[in-house]
Amino acid sequence: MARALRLLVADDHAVVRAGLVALLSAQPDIEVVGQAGSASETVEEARRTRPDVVLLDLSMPEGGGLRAARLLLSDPEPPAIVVLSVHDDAPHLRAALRSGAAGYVTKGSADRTVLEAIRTAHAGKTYVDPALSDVVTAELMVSGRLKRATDAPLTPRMQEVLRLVAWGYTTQQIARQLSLTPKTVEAHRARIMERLGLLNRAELVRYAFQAGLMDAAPPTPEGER
Amino acid sequence: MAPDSRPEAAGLLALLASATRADAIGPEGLHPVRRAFATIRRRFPRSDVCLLLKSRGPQPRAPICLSSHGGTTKPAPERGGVVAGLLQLAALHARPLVLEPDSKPRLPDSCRDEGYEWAVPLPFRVHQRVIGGLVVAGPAAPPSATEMLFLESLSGVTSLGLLAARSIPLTENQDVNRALDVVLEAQEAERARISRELHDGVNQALTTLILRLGAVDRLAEDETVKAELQSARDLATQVLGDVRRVARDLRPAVLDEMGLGPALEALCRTFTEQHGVHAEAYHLDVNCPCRSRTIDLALYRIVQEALANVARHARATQVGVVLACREGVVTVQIEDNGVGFDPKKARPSRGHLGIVGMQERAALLGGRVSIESRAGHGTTVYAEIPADFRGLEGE
Repeated sequence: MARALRLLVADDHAVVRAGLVALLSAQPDIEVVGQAGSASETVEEARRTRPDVVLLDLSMPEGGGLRAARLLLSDPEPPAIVVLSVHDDAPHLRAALRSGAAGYVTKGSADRTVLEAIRTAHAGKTYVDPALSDVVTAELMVSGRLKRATDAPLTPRMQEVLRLVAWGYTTQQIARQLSLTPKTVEAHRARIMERLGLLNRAELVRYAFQAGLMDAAPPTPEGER
Repeated sequence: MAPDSRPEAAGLLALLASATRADAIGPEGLHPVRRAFATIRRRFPRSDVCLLLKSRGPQPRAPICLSSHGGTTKPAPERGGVVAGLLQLAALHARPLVLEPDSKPRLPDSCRDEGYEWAVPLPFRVHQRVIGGLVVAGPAAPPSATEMLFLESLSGVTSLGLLAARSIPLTENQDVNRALDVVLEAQEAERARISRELHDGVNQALTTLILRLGAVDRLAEDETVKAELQSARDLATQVLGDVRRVARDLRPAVLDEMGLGPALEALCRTFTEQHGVHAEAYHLDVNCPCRSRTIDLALYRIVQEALANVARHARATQVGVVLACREGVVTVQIEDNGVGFDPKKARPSRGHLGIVGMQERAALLGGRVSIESRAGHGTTVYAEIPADFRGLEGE
């Protein structure tokens, strides 16, 4: 049989850590080689015990889990990092993957999920908790729509309107600035959304930014301040 | 009831409802005294309001006395004596008093000298003790019977709110915004504490419970036991989700850990899950050097309130939230594609008062909130706060 997977468990809550260790040590292919209760302890312990995988709590004292992850991943022959987090949102997932984590599991998900994440990460692949699949899907769908949107060019007037919308000016302010009626500004906006196939203001502004419409400093419409 | 007093009563009730909400912990939970002050100023624009609050704490201090006239509010220690006297007088009577030149008891001469024709003292009673109160006074036409009922209820509600908010000591040197800002800060701190406790205590205990049930499940062989264990785990998982949501509403950890942009993203995702309305946030906080946590928190609460309005009224299918920074101003827009409304015809209904709450919050930091909407064309809330606002930080 192959050598057991060497695992370090890092969580600042002793009770949770004990529960995890009990669960994980019961697996024949896993050997828990160390435990840590803070970010700095994690780095220390990992450098001392040289585990294959670190199961890492995101919110830990002394710098947080991600700082520990970044430090460890800059070492030669770094361990694979599996993040265990209470957060099930896109920003935390994104931050974890950006720091180089190979797995992301939310606390409270089935222990099977935790085990699968650890084994997948050890095999050199990436694992994301199925509970977060809608987050991932939503991200992909938005970027898909934005990609399609770039194929639909806007008239210069539309670009002007979009630029002001993106900088957060009110319809009234935009109308004054461009010497249009508010209804005309609204109509332009509606046509922009339709032409680009975008669904809401967030996507619209994201498009404006990516299309370079916001590269110049924001204009100051008349009557502002 | 006279026929034309019905809409008036309805309007007053709506105002009162908003004041009641002030003592609930929620995104719109402003301090009760602030709320009462604002409510009275709105309802009685021609009158003056004086606020008196006794300080609490080990060192006895002079009570704080603030006076509001024509939209400006300032400390008025010189009025403290008269105001305290009127409140004591009212506290001795079981029924609400309208003091007029020929009423019994009579309006004090010092009030008449300042040009007031009537005054209504509204004591705040907490545990049978008068800890302060409001005095509303005006030049002519004392409040109607309905308005009196309103004022009386408002003072009752505010007392309850004060009890709930466990009001903190105020000093006489603070101006109104500052003093009430302190209370707002204290409320936020309390929310943060409860949220932390939920996270560190309940949340972690539940996580462990779920793990342990899993361990027992592996030992169990009986199918009935296994089924029972599974339903226990499902329940624990569900409770964990609930606790997480409550903690997040009280004090979003993502705001502290990752900042406003990611926090708004997370807020939108929760909104989508809860209401089935697609909400999406995008942030452009490039070139915004000096934003403070106070500003972030205020904008976060404003977005929370705006989203709550969308859920209550808009019947939208899409919501977009954008955070950007231009020329030293942090701006947030919340836009839905719902039914919209005509701002000129908007009555002070519940939703409308949510808007007032957002405006108060922004005004406290030198910012503003405006709204654009048209029936059938959705609604956009624009909030902006100067990025260099320093406020209470560093004190």
